[in-house]
Amino acid sequence: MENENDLKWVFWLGTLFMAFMALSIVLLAVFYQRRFYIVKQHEAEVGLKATLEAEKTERNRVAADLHDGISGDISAILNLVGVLELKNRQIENVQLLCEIKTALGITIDEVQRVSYNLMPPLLETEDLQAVLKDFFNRVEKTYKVRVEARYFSEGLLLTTSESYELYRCIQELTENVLKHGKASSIKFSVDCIEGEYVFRFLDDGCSYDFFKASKTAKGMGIRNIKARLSNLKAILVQLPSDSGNCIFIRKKIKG
Amino acid sequence: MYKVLYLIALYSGIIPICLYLLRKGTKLNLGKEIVFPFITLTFIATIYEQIGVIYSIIGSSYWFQIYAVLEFTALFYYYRELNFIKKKQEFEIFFAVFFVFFYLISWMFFRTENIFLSLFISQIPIVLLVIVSSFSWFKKLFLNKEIKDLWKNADFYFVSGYLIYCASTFFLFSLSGFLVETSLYFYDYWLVNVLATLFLRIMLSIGVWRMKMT
Repeated sequence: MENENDLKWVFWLGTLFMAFMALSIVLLAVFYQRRFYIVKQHEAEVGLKATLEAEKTERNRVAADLHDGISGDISAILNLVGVLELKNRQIENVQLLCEIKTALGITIDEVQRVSYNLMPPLLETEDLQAVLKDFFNRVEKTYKVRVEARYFSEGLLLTTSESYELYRCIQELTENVLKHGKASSIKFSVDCIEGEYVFRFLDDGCSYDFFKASKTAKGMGIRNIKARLSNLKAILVQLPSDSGNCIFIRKKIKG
Repeated sequence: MYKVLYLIALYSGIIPICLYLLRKGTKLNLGKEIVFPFITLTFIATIYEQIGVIYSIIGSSYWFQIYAVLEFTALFYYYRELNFIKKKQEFEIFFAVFFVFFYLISWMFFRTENIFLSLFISQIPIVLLVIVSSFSWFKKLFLNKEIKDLWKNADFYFVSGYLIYCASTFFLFSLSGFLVETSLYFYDYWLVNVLATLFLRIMLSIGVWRMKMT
């Protein structure tokens, strides 16, 4: 009888203890895991911000070097060629010098285009919409594509940093559809709807799934867009489209 | 009351596989999810306990011995495929040898009139597998910090459900051999297994519901 009592006590105490221990481990895991996850997310966000800031600074530096350094040097060479042309009137030399001038002129344009693509100088002084207008004008001339753009009547309340990130996203989307999608027309608009800026991007090129493409090895550009939008706390939505692509970027207006 | 709880715990074994088939729908490649062997085994156990016992297809003593092998295999497969173990080969060899050793010993103590001792011996490697694997999984969870919300993660329900089941029933299986030979009313104690089984099957059902189907 006494043994039976002991057995009962051992059984119930043991069972309750083991069940309590297991349950405690599970509940502790639930409670602390979420905290650790939030810390990790915060670290990743800080890292991402630092990376994007470093990239922006580097682009700025390279663009400045190209524009001030190389572009200036080529312009100086062009001037020297002009002087040589005046001094040398032999027909074969005049022709050669003319070709050199043309090539140098094209190179200056190319350097300025690369410099502008790296860091549009207008971003420092103008509204994002002004930069986008200029961008799409150059896209129309360079790629012989039709661009229908409609902009918001008022200026956008965005910091230079936010404008830069959005510009990069739209630039990347445009380059994607022109190079890979072979689009012949682009429709772009900026609206303010219910406290959000909505950037709408439509094209008639090859359809692609933005989120699927970001998971492939070749989706580097798209992953960059995702990283920038995550940094901006903006959302990208892709709507199904019969032909081409229909992408919206939504950014909440601060204040 | 005991009978009602027993029947609920018994028939709840059908729920995980039904939920699995419902969620799978028309998608092919049935059984690709790593928990599928275990929920199938739960279903088979339910069917056996309802039909097999009545028609004595296999004696219940022998069924418990066979079930131990099936249970170990299903759990071993699940934890192995969960892919959180660093030294996979060592893990596999150790637990396979450990189980075979204890399983053979359980047959040495097997008696049809009192199967509890052999049942406890065959459960030892399973309990050890569950505890070691569960701790390793939780450790990996904290190190990798990849899962945002545990409540939405299917593996959390499977791992923690089985951990709590094994912990709750450890003393029952270890002392059943003695309890049954006393004057104590055994079913008061076996109720722990009924409740633990019911809890496990509820966790399995929630886990299957939360699972991402391939």
